[in-house]
Amino acid sequence: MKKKLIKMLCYSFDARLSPRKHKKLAEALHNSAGLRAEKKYLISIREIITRHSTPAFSPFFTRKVIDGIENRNFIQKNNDTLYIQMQSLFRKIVLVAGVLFITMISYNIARTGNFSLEGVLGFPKITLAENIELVTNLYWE
Amino acid sequence: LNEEDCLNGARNGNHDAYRQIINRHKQKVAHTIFGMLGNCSEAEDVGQETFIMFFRSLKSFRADSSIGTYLTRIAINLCLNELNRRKRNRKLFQRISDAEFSAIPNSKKGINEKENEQLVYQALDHLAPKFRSVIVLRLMDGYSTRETAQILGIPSGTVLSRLKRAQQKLKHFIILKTGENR
Repeated sequence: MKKKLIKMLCYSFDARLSPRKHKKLAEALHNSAGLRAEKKYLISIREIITRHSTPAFSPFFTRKVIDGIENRNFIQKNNDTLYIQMQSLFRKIVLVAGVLFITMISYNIARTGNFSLEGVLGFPKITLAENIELVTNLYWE
Repeated sequence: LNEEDCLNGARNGNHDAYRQIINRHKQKVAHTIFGMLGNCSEAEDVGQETFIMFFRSLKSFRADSSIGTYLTRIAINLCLNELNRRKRNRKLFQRISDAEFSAIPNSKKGINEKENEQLVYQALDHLAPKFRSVIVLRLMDGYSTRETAQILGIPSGTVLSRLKRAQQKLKHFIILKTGENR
């Protein structure tokens, strides 16, 4: 049996064939007992599959889906709450650190009257000679 | 409530409205999922996941397709994921034991007998997911070729060729197992 005819036969179940192909298939079916048997066989398979009865979901299916949605919403809300709490805590920490830093700078400036970086940050003012002496002492020790 | 009211209600977080959507479509979704996965314990989980995913995508659902078609698309994708997972776990297509096959009568009277129905379903279990999905959507769920193509995101021509190949594979499986020499 020609493969082309089998293909045409299979397609004829699920698509509209062109008039030319339709005629060709009809003629082939008329002339070939094998092709008629093939058609009958395929129809049998398709009918069995079409009337295939499937079981239903359990009686509490809808309830389970709604519970699933609510649980996921709850988890999502909890995650959101945790995120908001962390964000709020971080803001507080940043604010306190900022206030402390400004207080320290103000205190250092007021104490030393020096606006240089060392003065602002409260580092002791050391000259180059003092620095060299300090390093040399450390080396000999 | 009609479908649109239910949809709007569900979008606003009304669970009763969504409950109605579930009750209206669960049988069709069950048909698709059981057709794809067979009668197994995972089927109900996939069904629940289908409706939960739809609920989460309600805001982006623009009703270009019907709710049923959209749900079927989600269900098919989840089933394909499940089949891939089974394949990874080497559980895909549980082999039918020889004892089970020997229980199937070796009939030469065609495939209209009850016993041979079982054989068709077994053959269906052995189809690769891409062939099985077209058979389930077109023959079990009754979608048109065009709708099947839309759900699977493939051209109609591919659906037709897969349907043809799926039917040939089913036939060969049945002939092989029954020893029919047609």
